[in-house]
Amino acid sequence: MTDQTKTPKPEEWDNSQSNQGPGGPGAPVGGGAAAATPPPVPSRGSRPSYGSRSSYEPGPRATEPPTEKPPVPDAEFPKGFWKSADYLLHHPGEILESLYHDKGLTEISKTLFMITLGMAVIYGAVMGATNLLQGSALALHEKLLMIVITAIKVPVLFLLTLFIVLWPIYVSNAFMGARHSFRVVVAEMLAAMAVTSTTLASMATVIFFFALTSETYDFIKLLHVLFFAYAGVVGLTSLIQYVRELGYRARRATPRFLFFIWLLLYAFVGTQMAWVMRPFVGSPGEKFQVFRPRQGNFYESVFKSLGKVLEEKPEKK
Amino acid sequence: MQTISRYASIWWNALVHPEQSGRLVIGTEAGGRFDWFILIASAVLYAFYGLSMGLFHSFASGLVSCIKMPFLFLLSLAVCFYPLYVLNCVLGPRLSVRQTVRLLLVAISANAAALGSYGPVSLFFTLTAFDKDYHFLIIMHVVVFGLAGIASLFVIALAFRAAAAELRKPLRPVFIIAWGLLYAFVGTQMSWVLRPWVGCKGVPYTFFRTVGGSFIEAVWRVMHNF
Repeated sequence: MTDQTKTPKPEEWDNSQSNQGPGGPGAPVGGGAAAATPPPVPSRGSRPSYGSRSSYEPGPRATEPPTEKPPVPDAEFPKGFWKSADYLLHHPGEILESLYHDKGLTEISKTLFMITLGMAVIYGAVMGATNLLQGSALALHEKLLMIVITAIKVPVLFLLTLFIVLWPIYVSNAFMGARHSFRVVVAEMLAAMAVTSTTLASMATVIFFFALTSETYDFIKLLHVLFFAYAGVVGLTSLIQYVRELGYRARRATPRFLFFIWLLLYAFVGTQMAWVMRPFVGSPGEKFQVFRPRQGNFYESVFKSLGKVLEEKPEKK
Repeated sequence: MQTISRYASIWWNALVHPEQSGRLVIGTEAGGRFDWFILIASAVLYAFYGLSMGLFHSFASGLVSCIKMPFLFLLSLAVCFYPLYVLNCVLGPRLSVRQTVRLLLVAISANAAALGSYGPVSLFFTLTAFDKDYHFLIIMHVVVFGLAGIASLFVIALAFRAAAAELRKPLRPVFIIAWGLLYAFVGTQMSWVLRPWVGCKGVPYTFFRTVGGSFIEAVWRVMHNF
């Protein structure tokens, strides 16, 4: 059943008309890809964008035929941490091409790994600094140690989750989906993780600001959960985009329910991993510990925090 | 002087016809100095409104609010910039850093222009108000901020779409909504942190009240007390 490549309906196409890279008006792009007749199946060479559907694009001009898009080159990450993170954000199409051609994936995987690590360390440092910023009863050296510890924990969280989830995703993809080679799956998932990390690190300024200016631990904890969820959704969407597009090209579409399963897998493994590795922030009143004893679970804790935030007593300044 | 007036006319044109401001936003129409112009113009407009806010208490508080207002908006923008940049790469037109800066500055300047236009109104009410009219003034300011925000939202949305169309990149409406939500979230917290703005008469004026709680918690507490 899943072997058929159903010709995707026009509105299912990813209609991103992304040009190569940022900058001024680039090469002429056919606005007619959204025309009435569905384009031929995989040779579209379209570029995924991280969302699923575009809802705004300039319409086709009546007198011009749709022009061919220029071919997309393979990915070439520039040297330097920030530059390569920027490249990752701006050129998903090139990365897709590299995945499709299975070329240079070791280099790319290494770069993506470094980006994931670096960005996760940044966010972890800001997360651990919440204690320092909000003022709690811990000693100064404990607060500083918290920063270092959380800065180590967040990348470990990401990479361990990746490692655990890699196997079911690879195997289910191989049996039911697009049958990518192991190297390609690793690279895809590293790309998704890198996107997750970068998105998460981007929220660091917001968290820093709120940690500095608000006093309730539970509020900050909920913000962290929200931002992790947001980053996770973005990363998973990018993974799904890559797999889907590669599937179209190889004429083996991955079934939708598989994506849903991967989402659940990531969510459960990720939250359980986060719970096992707590504390990340360190609630006030608890003594300083690198790991807390195993009790309760993630969802219980989040609901408790939500309850506390909503029931804030008026006399608490 | 000539450049300033040229920039001013480009800027005003962009605000009145945001759907044509695409080339301005992506940078082909005006260089880097234009960003500084918008920054300073926005700061001046915000400062003017801040002055009208603070004059209720005393002249000194007017000056302080005058200085704090630009910081409110520009600091909120600084805090939000990196998340908005990544959101733009992930969800919207993949503008470069400079283009994102320009786009956000144009958005802020739209808000500044709208708010500054209410400056004379606010000034009039502040100067003719009695001491007991403090709460009325607070409500008036909230309403004015809301109206200015709505007016600038029109400009911002059209400017975003024009920029995306100019670059022929897709723009999803979710991007604008997420931008608005994030900025509102950070902005309200910043406005709470930087209070007082108007200054209750009878209470000795301080530059900042002690940092306690957050805007959201305060709102919740008020609703709770009902």
